[in-house]
Amino acid sequence: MAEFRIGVDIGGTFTDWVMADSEGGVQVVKTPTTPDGFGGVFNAMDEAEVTGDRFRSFAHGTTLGTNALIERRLPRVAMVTTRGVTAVLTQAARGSKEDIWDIYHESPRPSIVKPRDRLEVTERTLSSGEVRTPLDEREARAVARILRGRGIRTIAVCFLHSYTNGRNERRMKEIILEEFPEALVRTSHETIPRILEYERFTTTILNVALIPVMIDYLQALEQGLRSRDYPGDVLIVQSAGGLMGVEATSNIPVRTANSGPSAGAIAAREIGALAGFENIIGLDIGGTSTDVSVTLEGQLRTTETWEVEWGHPIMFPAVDIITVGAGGGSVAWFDPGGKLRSGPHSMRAVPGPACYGKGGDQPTNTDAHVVMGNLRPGAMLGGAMEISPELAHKVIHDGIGRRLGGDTVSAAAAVIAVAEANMANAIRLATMRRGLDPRDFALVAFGGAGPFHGARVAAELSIPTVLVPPRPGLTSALGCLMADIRHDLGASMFYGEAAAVDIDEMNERFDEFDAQVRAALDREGIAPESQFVEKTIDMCYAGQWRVFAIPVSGKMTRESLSESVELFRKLYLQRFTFDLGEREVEIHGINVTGTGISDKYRPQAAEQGSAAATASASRQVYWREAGGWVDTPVWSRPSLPVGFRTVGPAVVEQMDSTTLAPPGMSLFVDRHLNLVLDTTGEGGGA
Amino acid sequence: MNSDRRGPELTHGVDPVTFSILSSAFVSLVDEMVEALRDACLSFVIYCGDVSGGMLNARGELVAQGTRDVAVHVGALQPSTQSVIEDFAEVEGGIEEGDVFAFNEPYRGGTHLPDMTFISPIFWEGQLIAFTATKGHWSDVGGPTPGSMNALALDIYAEGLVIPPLKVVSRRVIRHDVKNLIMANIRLPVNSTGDLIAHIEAARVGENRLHTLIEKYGLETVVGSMEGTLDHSERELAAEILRCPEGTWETDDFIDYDPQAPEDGPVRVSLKMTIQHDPPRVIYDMTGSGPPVQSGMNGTRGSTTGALVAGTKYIFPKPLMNAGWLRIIKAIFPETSVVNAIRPYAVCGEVSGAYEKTTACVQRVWAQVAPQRSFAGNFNLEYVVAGGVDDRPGRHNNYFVYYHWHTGGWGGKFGADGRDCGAAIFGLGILNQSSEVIERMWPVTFDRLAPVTDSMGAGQWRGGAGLESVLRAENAGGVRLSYIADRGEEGPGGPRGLFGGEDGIPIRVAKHVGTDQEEDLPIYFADEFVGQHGNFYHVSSGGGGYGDPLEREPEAVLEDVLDRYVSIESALRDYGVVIEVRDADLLDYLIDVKATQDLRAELRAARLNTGEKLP
Repeated sequence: MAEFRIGVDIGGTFTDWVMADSEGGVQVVKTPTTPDGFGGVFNAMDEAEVTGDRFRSFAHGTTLGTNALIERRLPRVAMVTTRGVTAVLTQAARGSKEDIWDIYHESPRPSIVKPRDRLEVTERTLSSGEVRTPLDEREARAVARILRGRGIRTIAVCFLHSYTNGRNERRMKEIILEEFPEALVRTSHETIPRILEYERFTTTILNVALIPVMIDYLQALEQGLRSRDYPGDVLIVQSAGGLMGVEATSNIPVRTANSGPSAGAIAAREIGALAGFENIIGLDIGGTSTDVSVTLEGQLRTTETWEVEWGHPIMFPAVDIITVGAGGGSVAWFDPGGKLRSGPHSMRAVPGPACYGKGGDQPTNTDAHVVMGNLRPGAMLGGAMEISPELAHKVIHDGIGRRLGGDTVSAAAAVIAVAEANMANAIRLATMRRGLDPRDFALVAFGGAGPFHGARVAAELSIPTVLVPPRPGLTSALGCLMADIRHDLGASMFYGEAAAVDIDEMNERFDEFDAQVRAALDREGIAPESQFVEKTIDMCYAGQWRVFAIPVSGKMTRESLSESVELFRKLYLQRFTFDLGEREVEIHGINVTGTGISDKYRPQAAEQGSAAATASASRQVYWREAGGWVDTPVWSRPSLPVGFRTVGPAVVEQMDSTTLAPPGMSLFVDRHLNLVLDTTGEGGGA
Repeated sequence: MNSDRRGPELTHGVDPVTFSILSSAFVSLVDEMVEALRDACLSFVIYCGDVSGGMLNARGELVAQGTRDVAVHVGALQPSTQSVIEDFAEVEGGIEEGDVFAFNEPYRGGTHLPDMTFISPIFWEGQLIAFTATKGHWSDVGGPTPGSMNALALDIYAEGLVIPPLKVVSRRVIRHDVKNLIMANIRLPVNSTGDLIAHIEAARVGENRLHTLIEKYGLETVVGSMEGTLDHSERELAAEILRCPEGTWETDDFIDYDPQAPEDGPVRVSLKMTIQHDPPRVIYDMTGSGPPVQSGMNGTRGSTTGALVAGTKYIFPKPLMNAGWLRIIKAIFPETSVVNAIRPYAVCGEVSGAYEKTTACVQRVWAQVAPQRSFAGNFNLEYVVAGGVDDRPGRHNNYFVYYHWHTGGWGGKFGADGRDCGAAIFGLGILNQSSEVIERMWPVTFDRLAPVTDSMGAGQWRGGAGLESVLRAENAGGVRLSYIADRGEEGPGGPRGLFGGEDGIPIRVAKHVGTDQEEDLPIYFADEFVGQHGNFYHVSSGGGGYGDPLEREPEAVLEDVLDRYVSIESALRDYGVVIEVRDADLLDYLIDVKATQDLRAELRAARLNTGEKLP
């Protein structure tokens, strides 16, 4: 009975539903995202005519956390902190700035906890772990009552050096809950017991702020699925590219803050790998943003600490994704200097672009596509979504054309050119800034709007090959089905030298984390033989702060620790030329990652077709490259067989998106039904 | 390699996509070098970002700097590299593949002595193509005081080891005698040897990266793009300058006093700026600046040029800064002065003294031309440097050198308040040192680290808050403290307000606060002994205000009172806003609208209108 694996990606505009059966067959539904966030899931189930008892698993990517953090739609949060040391958050981003030269560029923004809500209590723990001053309980109670009086229920307890001894934080939490039982309290040591107070406090605050947001949402979603007969766990894609159950997510929701984009990055890696590429740029363009991921030699690039917003670090591993505000709904506008700009603000799902006819009155990229003939009014969602060309023309003419002079279609082309420059910049940041040459990569263009722009953006950066997967608008949903379950835990543990390590203490901590990740995997229904636990120790030479994570296994002994130290020295020499061999090696912490291998979805290769499709129609499309309107063949994507070839200009239409192949660019269909575009003009391809 | 400055948009025969890739690649090459330095270094100061790097062409002109590099270092890398060329280019076996030169000589392009620069040539098939340089603030470079920030130095010889261009690596082999000579003269030889190696590692990363680029794109394309980036930056800055009016504007600022001659009063730094269109030039004339002082507040020609260029970059943040800028920006100096001191004047505190005053002058002079791009005065940089013996268990009574920089308030600007507790203007890429890490590394504890109410200048857009700290020695022996700052209580005042905004508070320092031995300290001292459990107190300035405080929205003043930036008294006195407290715990505060209107009217009528007005 339970034959379907479900992947759902809930974006700002659409909810994408993918249902994979055990033969590798896939059914899809695309439906508008409802204001409550999850309603689209049930609409999709109704449309697909399935009930939950036929689901084997349910994996889910969401932009809820990201959007809540970016737009700061969060509950009011208070912080209780060590008396006298209140400047930690005031020194936003540790005194640094995103743009170090532009004084008028206001980034970082201040912490979400206002100074008035940073309350102090007398207590002090030292770096050795010694409690020099126990918590002043009388003060602690007074603070708890003030918080209750102010009605601030979401509270972060952030004390100095709690990563080494959480006693004072724990007691503070108990007292708040005694005085104010309705409060939601998280301490910094239980969130992430690592050194660096700005980073730890910020992670703790963002996490506790997201808990109410995510719990309400997940509970409602889970309840809805239960009432539709799904008995299993709801899995959420986390920022690091693994999946996590509801219980774990409700505890550390900040780990899912980049859920949606990560699912897309996983899919880009898998799609690229199946097509034979090891170096892949994922270009995911949706209604509000462009997300760029990089896979180098088959591995998704990740970061140890990342951020949704610059200067507000989250101390958990995450897929390294560059996001810019450029999507179908991004608004075109004029800056004070009279220069045409695009985004980052967008019209979102409601009211949406003007051409949707739902009251949108700002010119967007989607409106410009309609004016240029890129988007056929009847093409969107197979005609389910009404598009008004008149409204598109009017908003582009009134908003842009009148000011630029010239005709409306030139104005529309200018809007798209500016948006595509922003998208290309995001790729530059993800590649060139990191010393990578985009010419060594293949671009996977997806998201509803990715196929509009993929070819031109790739040509701009001399990326030779563009892959447009079979269901571009549903790629992130598919990515949810391609991930394993994953849990990460870690702690700062300082030993001046390896010889000074308390082996028992280290083993105890490893065992504790091992048990925690296995328990979480058990709860998520992963059989013990499919559970894999990896452990590492953070090491560096005495005096350094950038650590190498050295893999270890089994119970640690003096001997195995010495071997790890030797491994560190060896790895150090692979990165650097000079041997610091005589210098002491210090230990800064430990990490445990638990992976639950799930049976993932793999797209099946299709059979060679007759390669003789004919264009269903042609229409006038405005091509910047040709400097005007060109009668352009329009192909229906489902009719294109494996091996099909043509040369642009061409438009390929399908239910969830439209692919543009500019004049002179060749295009063919590979055996996984990807459209492969060759931007080099040489007509070759993979 | 001729550089045609008036050439067409063509970038030395390189196609636009490749040019764009390579000009970004040069910047990321520098970022990668700096990253390698930070990864491999053994000092926390460098790890936290008191570093910079550069790639220069074969003539020693700066092609690219890193994205988060320290501003004061940037102007210095070019003359530093040119000093290497000057000393070694003509010598047999002078500059060879695999060499690394150490350098810190202030008068020939260095900044102060602790800023150690390592410069390395890059060859391709026997031909010199480029140089790379990294610069990091070392914990100690010798001299009488730990940390080599000797406020009592009368000349450079009392500030530490002076290193002219010196070959420490010859054809990829470390010259141990040379290295040993350096290490024999400084306090933390083991750590510093590690840092020296980290600089060499960084040079190797830069060399490998450039070689990879040449293999991929060809020598001509890479060298053409290096030249092209200079032309491109020149054109970008020229376009900005052509949008500004022609004319001449003047301003000045003051170093509090010469610590060796306080009775002589404030020391003037003077700036006259001329903008001209044909050809596009910004000419900064520093004639009129005071004579060199007998202590380390002097700047050198190199560091002051850096201040002028970096100060201009704050007004025009977008164009990439490199040697192309020096074709537009011209500096005129008096024969010798506090901003271009010559050997052997002391310079260790230059960033606190002449450098900071010069950047403040650049801000103020541009405020007259582009009020919506400039900003009110910032807090002055402070150096807190200490050395002693670490008596904590397990620390083997090791000698330690502690170096800490503070954050402070930035000036208000058009449309927005200044930044609270931000990094100093000399390097916004720097991270403040985490107090958890400081307490782990050194035998010290913070008793206080907090933003300061009313530390900023009031204004329509107020300055940012300053920071106060109480640092206590714990289990430390024989701690000697040096401190160098400016804009203290005895000087002409704190960071200046703009267009009717008020000044931020001056710096204050003291020791043993909260005990019966509490004692104020001057803002410039060396070798102050701190007892076993003695403490050191300091408060950094808030930023200057921008615009008339009576124009600030009363609601914004109330917000500041709730957040403890502004006291109820200051709200009344400086802003004319009457706020009633009903329950402080529950944040129940109320603006008395009628009383506020009356008070503001009264204040406007009463005061002599001496403030500058928004144009």
